Amino acid sequence: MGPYTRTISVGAVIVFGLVFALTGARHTTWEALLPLFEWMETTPPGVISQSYGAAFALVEAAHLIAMAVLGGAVLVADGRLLGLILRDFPLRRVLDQSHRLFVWSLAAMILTGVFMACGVALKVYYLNVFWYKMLALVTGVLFVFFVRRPLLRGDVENINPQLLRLVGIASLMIWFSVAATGRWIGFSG
Amino acid sequence: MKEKNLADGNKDTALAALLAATAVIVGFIIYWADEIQAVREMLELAYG
Repeated sequence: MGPYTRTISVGAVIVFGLVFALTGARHTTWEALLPLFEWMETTPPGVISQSYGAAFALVEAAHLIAMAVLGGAVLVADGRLLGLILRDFPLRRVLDQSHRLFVWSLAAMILTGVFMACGVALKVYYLNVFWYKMLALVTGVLFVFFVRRPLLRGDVENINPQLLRLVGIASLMIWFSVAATGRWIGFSG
Repeated sequence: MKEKNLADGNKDTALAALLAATAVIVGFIIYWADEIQAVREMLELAYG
């Protein structure tokens, strides 16, 4: 693909996302996923979640703490990219340390999230907002590991400051959407 | 040659970031504007 492999890949993912969203493929995929969600409720995490409210509450607490830590890591990194906070600390150090925290909290958030989803699999399956959250989460993960991190891994001082701000704003928007749609699930259905 | 490859790689990463960030910002604005509009319409139905 030549020297612009990453740009072409990003473009292809955007086009694929648009085609998927605007055609019948979205509905077909949704229908095909029903057996998976039915099966999820029969798995040990699904049975435990449905039978022991305390277990679900404990896992949900861990999920919310992981989300808070992830939100903190995102706010620190993007706030520094935007030049709003921690301006006395080297950008490289802030980005590296917050990324480490981000990765661990993301792993915890996904593990606890899957556990919780097993308990209410069929409920969330029929909620539009659950799918918006999954879309935001997948976008966030792809954005962090295939766009943001590769950009910031190099010499950050030589990157156009406007681009850094744009990336910071986009990152904040994605994780805001993940958090907002996540809380929305709690008030739906 | 090595320096040119490095420069091309940096340019590619920056361009990819620009494209992805723009798409995210546009998508975010469209999605949340749509949700806010839906709430406004619901409030209008409820309270006139």
